[in-house]
Amino acid sequence: MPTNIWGLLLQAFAETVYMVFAAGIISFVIGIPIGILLCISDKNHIAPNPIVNQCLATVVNIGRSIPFIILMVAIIPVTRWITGTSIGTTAALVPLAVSAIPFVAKIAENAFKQVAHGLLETGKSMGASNWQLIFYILLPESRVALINGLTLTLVTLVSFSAMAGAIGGGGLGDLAIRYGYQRFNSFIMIITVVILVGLVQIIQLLGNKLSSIYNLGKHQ
Amino acid sequence: MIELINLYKSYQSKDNSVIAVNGINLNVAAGKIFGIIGLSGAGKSTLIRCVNFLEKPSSGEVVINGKYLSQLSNSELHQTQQKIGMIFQHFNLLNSRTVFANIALPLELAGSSKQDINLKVNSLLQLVDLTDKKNNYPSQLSGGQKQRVAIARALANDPEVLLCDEATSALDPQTTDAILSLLKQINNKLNITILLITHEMEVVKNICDQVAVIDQGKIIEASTVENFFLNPQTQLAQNFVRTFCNEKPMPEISVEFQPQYSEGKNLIVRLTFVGNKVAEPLVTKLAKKFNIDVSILQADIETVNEKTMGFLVVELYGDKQKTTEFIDHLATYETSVKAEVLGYAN
Ligand SMILES: Nc1ncnc2c1ncn2[C@@H]1O[C@H](COP(=O)(O)OP(=O)(O)O)[C@@H](O)[C@H]1O
Ligand SMILES: [Mg+2]
Repeated sequence: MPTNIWGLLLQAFAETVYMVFAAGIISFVIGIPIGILLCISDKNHIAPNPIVNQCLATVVNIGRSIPFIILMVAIIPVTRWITGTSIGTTAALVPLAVSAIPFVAKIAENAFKQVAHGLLETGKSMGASNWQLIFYILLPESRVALINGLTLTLVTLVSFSAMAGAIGGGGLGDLAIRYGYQRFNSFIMIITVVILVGLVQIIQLLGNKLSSIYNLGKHQ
Repeated sequence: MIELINLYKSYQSKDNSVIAVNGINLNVAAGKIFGIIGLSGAGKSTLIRCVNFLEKPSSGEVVINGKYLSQLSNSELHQTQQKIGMIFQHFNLLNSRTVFANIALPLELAGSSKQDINLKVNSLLQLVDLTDKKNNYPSQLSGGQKQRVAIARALANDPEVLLCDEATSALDPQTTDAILSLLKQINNKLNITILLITHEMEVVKNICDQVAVIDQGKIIEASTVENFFLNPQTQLAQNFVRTFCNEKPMPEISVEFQPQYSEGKNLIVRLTFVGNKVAEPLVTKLAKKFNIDVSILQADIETVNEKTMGFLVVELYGDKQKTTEFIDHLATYETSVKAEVLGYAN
């Protein structure tokens, strides 16, 4: 049994890391463009469009207000349609990504809105197109706020992934429930908690490191 | 080079509309520095933002070097905008880019090659004297240095026109002078037409060839800078000139005076001179000629657009006929001297 425990823990850890980072990347790839659209379609921004802005804002707000545990159950049919199954780590990616996308969109929108309007004006005065304004000014100037927000997303995904484990998603949460809760194995419970805390610390550390590299221009 | 024809810009909101630019016609000749001065809220920023179509005018035309901006397609407009540099009150540098990369930005946007960018940016760094700061970030620069980076950036695509929106308003007086002389130097060297807006007479005085006064979205007065100082027409222009002179550290006029004539009192006269007729020699010469005594109560010599101007307040001792002759004689120098009776000494 003891040798088996470490093997279980290692596998569960790998599953958690996979869920967090895969769902994270999917949510970044979809959430950031939504955040850009939300920001630039606002009424005083570079591509005002009240209809697009209102629709996106509504969808994002609804998405953000559904508790993860309910979302996870509610979208089981979608999960099954996409992945062919409703259990396992890959199946857990669907609810994790779906819940993280509006979160990322909102965080990205806020990061982009902090970019001073004068900078976009300056870009326009140089004859920049809207695409150029986004890629040369909006994204680079907001990258520190964006990195901090994305780090927060990954941290949140760690705790969501543990919840996903509760309905058969695998990973450390699953392990903690099966051994720690159902079989009263407090050793495994404690180890999983320690590993989860460690994982969050490492993510936060890497995020801070990355943002401080890009923050060179701001404080020295 | 820059022509504004019947330009209007209004902003609509739910319950009111503001006409920020109210029918402006303006012509800026190539190679000149043209200043527009006005109080806060007069419509200066809106006007200058219309010139490069940062703001689309509600009606009227902007013609830059023969091109009607309203008739250009989107991509033609972007190309034209690349040839119109602009600098701002708050510099608007990108914090995520070094000095070098900030100056390179317009070249990158225009699709220049790496090699061209390197050459151009390095020569611009030399022009604005910031070669040693090229790898620094904007947060490590002083305000004056930031504005110099912004000027270099505005010049990157070899513009024909440079627009300055209160470019020195955030700077201290010494730095203001340095930035203004840099602009003058650029204007001379590269023959770029400069249109600037400001609320500071210092700016007009130091570098402008011509000046217009804007009030409530309208140009109420326009002339050469010398004539503006010598002969301000409107109340607002007079206030600008007076306030400017009074801001200078000068002794207070030590004599009390009143506006009404009374028998036997001395005249208090303000004299403004342009060019080589400056100040005391002329006054003393004429005083001798008309046999009156002149005492100088206030004197200030300024360099306006590279010409010397004198601002004097004098008290004239002499009988009424002689002093009147003296003033009438001064009036014959109309383009270079202006005499204005302020009142009568107590
Ligand atoms: N985007 C805008 N929306 C509504 N009103 C505006 C806007 N920009 C300027 N205005 C109004 O237009 C007038 C002129 O403003 P502005 O051009 O900024 O003046 P100045 O630069 O001379 O201080 C002001 O009354 C201002 O409130
Ligand atoms: Mg302004």
